[in-house]
Amino acid sequence: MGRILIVEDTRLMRDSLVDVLEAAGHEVVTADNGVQACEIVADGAAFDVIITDIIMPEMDGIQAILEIQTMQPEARIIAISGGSARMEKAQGLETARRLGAVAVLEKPFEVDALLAAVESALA
Amino acid sequence: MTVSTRGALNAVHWADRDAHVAAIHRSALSMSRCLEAFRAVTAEGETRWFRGSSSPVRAEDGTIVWEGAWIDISPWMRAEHQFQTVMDHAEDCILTLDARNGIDWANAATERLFGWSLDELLGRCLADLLSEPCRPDAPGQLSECLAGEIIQCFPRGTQEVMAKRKDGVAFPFEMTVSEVRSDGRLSLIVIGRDITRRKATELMLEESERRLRSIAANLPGVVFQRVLDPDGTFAYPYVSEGIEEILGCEPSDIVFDSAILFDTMVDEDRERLLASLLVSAETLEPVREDVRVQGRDGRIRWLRGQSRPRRRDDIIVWDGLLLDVTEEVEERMKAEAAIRESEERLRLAFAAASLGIVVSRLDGTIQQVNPAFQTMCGLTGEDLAGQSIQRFVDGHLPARGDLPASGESFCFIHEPSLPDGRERHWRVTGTQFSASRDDPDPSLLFMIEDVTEVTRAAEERRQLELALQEGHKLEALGRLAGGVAHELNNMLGPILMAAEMVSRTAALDDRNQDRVGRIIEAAKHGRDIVRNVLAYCRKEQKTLGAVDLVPVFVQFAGLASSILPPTVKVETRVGADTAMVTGDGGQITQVLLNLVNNARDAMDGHGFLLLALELVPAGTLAPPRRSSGRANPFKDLDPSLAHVRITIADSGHGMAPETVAKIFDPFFTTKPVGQGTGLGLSVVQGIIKAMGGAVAVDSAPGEGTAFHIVLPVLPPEPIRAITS
Repeated sequence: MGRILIVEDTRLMRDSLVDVLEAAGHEVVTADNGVQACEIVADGAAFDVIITDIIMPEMDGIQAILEIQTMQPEARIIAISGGSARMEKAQGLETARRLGAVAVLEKPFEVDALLAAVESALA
Repeated sequence: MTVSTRGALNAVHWADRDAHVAAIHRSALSMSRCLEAFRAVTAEGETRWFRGSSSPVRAEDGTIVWEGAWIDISPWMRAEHQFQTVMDHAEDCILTLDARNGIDWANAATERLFGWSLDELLGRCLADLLSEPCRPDAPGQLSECLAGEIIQCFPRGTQEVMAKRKDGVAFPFEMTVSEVRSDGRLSLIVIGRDITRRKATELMLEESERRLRSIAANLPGVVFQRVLDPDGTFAYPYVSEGIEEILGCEPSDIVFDSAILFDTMVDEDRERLLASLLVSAETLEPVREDVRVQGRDGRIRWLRGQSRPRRRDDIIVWDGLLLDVTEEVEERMKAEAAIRESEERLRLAFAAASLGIVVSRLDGTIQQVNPAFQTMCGLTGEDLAGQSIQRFVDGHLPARGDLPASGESFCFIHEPSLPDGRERHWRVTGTQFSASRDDPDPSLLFMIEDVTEVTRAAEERRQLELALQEGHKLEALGRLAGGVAHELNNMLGPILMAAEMVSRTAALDDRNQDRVGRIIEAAKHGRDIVRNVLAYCRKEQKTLGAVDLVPVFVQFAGLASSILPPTVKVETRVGADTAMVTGDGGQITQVLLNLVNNARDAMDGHGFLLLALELVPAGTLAPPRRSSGRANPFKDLDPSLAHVRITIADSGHGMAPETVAKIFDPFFTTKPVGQGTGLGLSVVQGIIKAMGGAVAVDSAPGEGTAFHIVLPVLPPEPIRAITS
């Protein structure tokens, strides 16, 4: 089982992720946006997997990925996105993938898809 | 006449009877010879003159008997009478001079002309009648005069002198002096006449001729008279002086020998002229011929001869004018050559034109087509001969009455039905034209342009514009949908996941399992709907602000190597500490990321990538060596401002100019569907343009590609005075 940081601004989404991952036996920490996530990472907390939304206030996922990678180059990142008016969901995810995300998921996704991505990230 | 022994007195004309009887009485008284002269009337009533004489003899009984003879002098008397009548009625003055030049006889005309009576004239010297003293002019005549007893003599023959009348008025007088010798006596007969009128006429004629000669001499050409003698030879009795200027010979040369003129003519022209002259002599129609002559200066000149014939006895006389028309003819020949040249050019243009050209009658019957039209319609000239243009213009041709006037044209575009069934678009421009002003049968000229490609391109463009308009609508819709979708997805996620988590608990009975299943199904269905809507989602422009490009660039450069294979060498150059621009850091990162992705794809995993940021000082902005398209990509920038330039240059396969020209077009991609970031270069350009900058590309096949992003640098913030 792994230690997972969830970066997600939408509360219901964040809670669902926590629900699913904790049910699967993972240890989960949450952040409401990129800024919080960076702070958590900067504090030295280590995570096996970081699941981040792309479109968030304060600092979006792409920037968060870039920031986190500077602090933890080995971080295994899963990007999730529901898209936005600014960016099509696939674009954000593609950018994340290019930036090194090990998996990307389009919202909404099934429980099994999430678990499978996390499993492969942990492997 | 009754003559008897009793006497002939009855026969004597009554007028002479008394004188006759008186003469007889005188003779009887004096017994001297009786001279008899009388007129008698014959039995036929004819008057005859008799002259005679008789001698009286006194008989013993006292009777006197005359013995004599009468001679019929009627012929002589008649001649005398006739002479007198002639003299009296003669218009000319006739006078005779005696040996001393004194007038011893003059006729009535002399009296009338000079105003002297005969009595006054008689004995007067002839010289008194002349206003200038008339002297013997020639020694020869003088000597002859001396031979006779004439003291002063007048020249023999005809001469014109000035005479004067009794009242002193002088007048021209022509007189003929001839000498007559009779009975060994020399006398002069002078016959003369007043020639005032003739002199005036002569003067007029002289003046007229002088005038004509003067006119002839001043005419720009040669006035001539030509005659054709019955023996078939031509002569020029008169040629004006102008000939000298043209041929260099005197008019008299030609008058003397017409061959001189004919010999100067070019052979074929001379033959033609002679033939025309013979025809003219026959028909008496005017001749007009242009002939070439070679003057003494060797120059060939064109002479135009015009003459009108008339018949005079058995010769033909032409009066005419010869003009030097060299300049005119040369001009005309030059003009004709120019027309021929122009025609040749037109013919060439007709043959070589890429436009189809058709000439038809007003009813559309094809008269002439050029090769281009034959190619356009796939038919040969023979196929087309006699066909109607209507076949190709399908009723677009205006009716005869509706045709625009000559010089105006009509134009239409249509799809002709061609033998090979190809779909073509023709733009047909037609115009009515006439070969000459009063051409009763004008023609139609058609210029036919195959505009298939143009109309097709226009149609594509129209479609594209429609698509763009549609795209704009979709973009707005997409922006809206994107926002909604994001929220919805964030809601659908928890629903889906929560429902799935619920469905995994064993506690649910079948009915509740069904219910949770419906929630999951509905969530998934909702997801599909959102996904479809999101397909339209497009990126939205952020509000722009001042951003320092340097940290954005440096940060991006740091991560660039991570998205490139290790076999690609990356070099980063940062030539500035700060570069404030109007923009958005995230968008700039997106743009750079997009360009680096393109570079990676162009390099196939191996090569060299340069990432450079440098300042472009004011006034030094220049487009790249091989700028995209024709226009300067930096034309919208103000070169007087300082700029910052980010260059992303790869060592990839480069692009052909035609690709370069299109890379900024929307929807243009060289990549397979599904690949790429989805941020087209058009969006890159749009983003940079929105920031007030420009994107330029510098590329050639095999030489890699460089993208230059140029943004105007914001001036430094003014320092605000800080007050406490």
